Amino acid sequence: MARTPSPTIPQDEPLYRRVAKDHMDGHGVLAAAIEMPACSFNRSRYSRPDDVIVPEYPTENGIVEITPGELPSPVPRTSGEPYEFFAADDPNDENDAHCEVRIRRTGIPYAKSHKPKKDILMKARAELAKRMRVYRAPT
Amino acid sequence: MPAANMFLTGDCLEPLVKTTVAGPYLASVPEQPSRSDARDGPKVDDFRERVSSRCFCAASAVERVLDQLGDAPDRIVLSRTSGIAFVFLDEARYAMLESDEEGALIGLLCDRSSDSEAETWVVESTGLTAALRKIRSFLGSPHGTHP
Repeated sequence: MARTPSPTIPQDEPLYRRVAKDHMDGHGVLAAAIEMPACSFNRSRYSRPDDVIVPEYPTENGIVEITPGELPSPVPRTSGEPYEFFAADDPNDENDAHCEVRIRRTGIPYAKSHKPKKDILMKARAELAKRMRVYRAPT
Repeated sequence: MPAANMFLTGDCLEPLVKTTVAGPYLASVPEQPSRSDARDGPKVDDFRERVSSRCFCAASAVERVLDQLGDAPDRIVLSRTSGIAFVFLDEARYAMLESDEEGALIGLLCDRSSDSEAETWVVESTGLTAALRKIRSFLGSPHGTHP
């Protein structure tokens, strides 16, 4: 049985995610490595960085990290309805450390059923990718 | 006439007209860009079994137009959203044209050296050549063509 989700994740807690070499270059992570409106991570409080590596995805052998305090500011910033990033604890039976970085319309609770526009999703992917740090480079 | 007019028919994107795409643009790029990594790397067809038919057809259309333009991305990758992404790299800048599961094409221009927000847009059915031109304008000509 999964543990009860925490209402918040500390701003300085590293969150880890696996990444493939094809989804990076010498300047960082590409938007192709990111899913939105919800992107899975592992919380460092409940796991080790290496736990994100699984045999089912052998090419995804790198590890990237971010903390809730490093999440991008809302997008879009110039025009249109802004979406804010937030980290949500989301443990399940298979992965006690699972959490997600999600986007929601600023001031409106997150809803899985809400589908942001495709260009907004891509913008959010690019902005999150831009802020990820490499913990261990993929090979 | 807009180059590379495309039209959605059923599950597949087919060329509406044959065209000598984007004359002015062709004049600014070489016939054989030296992007050997993309030419030697995965092609759209390599992902056929791993993506939806709509995604595959839209990505195939992008590949065709790139061929017509004599251009090539640095990489073609399967994205984590189960789409096919054409990735164009230029140091801290990169651009992406991604075909998603529904066959929609989304463009991205991102400069990682600045705090400026990434530019993104949904590519209309008649806007593929314009999208590729916009990417080249953002990044510059393919590698090896700089003076």
